Amino acid sequence: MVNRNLKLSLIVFVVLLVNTSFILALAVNSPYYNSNPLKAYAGQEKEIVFDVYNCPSMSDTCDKEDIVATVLLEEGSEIAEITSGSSYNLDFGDSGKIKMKISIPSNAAMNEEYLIRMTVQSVPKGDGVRMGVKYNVEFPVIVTDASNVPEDYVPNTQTKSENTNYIFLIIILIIVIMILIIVFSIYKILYDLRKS
Amino acid sequence: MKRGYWISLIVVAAIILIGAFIFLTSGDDPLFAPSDVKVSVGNAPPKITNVPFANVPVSLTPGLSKNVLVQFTARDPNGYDNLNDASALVTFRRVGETDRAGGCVENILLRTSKTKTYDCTVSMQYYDGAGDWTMTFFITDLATPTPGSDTLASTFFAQVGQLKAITYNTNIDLGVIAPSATNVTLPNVGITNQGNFNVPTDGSLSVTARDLIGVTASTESIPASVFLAGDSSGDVCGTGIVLINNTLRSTNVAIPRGPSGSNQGSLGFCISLVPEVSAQDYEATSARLNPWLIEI
Repeated sequence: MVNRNLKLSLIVFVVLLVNTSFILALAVNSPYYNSNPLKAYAGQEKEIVFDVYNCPSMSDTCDKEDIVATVLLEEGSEIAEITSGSSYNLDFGDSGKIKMKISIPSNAAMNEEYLIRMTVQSVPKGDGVRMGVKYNVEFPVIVTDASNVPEDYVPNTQTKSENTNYIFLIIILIIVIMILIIVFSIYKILYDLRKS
Repeated sequence: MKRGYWISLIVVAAIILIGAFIFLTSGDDPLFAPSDVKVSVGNAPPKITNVPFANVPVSLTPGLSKNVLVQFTARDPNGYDNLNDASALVTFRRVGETDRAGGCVENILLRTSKTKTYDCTVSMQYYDGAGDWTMTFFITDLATPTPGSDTLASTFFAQVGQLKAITYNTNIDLGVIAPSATNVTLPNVGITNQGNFNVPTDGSLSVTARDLIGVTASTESIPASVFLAGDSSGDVCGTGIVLINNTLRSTNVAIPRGPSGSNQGSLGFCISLVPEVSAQDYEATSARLNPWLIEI
């Protein structure tokens, strides 16, 4: 009995199970943030996209594991809605898109400000003491005049096939006109011959 | 009578024209004699006519570079083939940041007799600062010895988004600790910043800790409040913040943004006093609904 007590008093406890490390590499990109508010006009509906990643570099510093990211809209539900779901399965090296729909009320006052706050988090499985990651994505939405809402930039992606289509159309038109001229000419010759 | 009048008028006009022609083209130095005409047309410099008409959103990729495509159009009065494609360049600039320049290739589908449109690619790094970057376009022509050139800054910006991307070992290595031990320093958690969110300039790194629950006897626990957290460069046991169960606590950890090697931070933990609990494993896991969280 004495021996057992001694053993207990000397014993130490192990909190960590050995060799269970996991390098988490969740990332999120936000086009808007506190110092870069979203400007929208009353009545406007706009979709904004946030990119989420699971180690796109596929670096050896990340564990080659798939992860699940959970998205939650914490503030701003009066104008914002996450339309792409709350759970994102990201394979190693993969990325996904969180889509948020912003609907400004048509009676919103000029310069009225809304705050959007969304969290993106992932907690790896495993035992021991696990530390997940949680990203706060927060940005103001300011109601402004429609003329102050910037357009989205789209590079000119005119393709060769579109050009070819135009050329083809012009050629067809020329051919049709030539055929019409020939038909009318023949018709006139025949008419003149009959008349004479 | 009237007909005769018109015929006379035409004949007179014809005689005058023929006479004038003979007068102007005859003699030693006729007015209309063939002669060499040489006109020297100087080089007209190119002009950048179109640059992006809206802000260009840039979504960076963690740990990697990201190619951003922008277009501009240049016009040369001497013809499109006088534009020097190799000189076409765009530069993104922002105060405090390294300039990002990108070369351009002609988009031949958009060519006209005097203009060329260029597709320019700028490689942005994952750690480039969020915000507005000015876009300046440049081109020269092929004139020698001094080519003409033009530079134009867009009134719109490349708007770099905010990229939050940290990587770290998610397992806190508590190892083996003895009850009643004080100020037990735990191995540091190295954190790499693969984004452009600068801690603490843009916001702090916070920790939400939760009580550790016994694996065998789940009625026993190690309270989160015995842990302290802070930047490992300092004395975490002395100056770290005390963690509180299920509560977000802000730390003084710094995780700078920058290229590989300069983007490291380190989170240190300390147990101020190991409670007298039974010898078993204690966990904080998603399965037990008590994982810890690092938050930025």
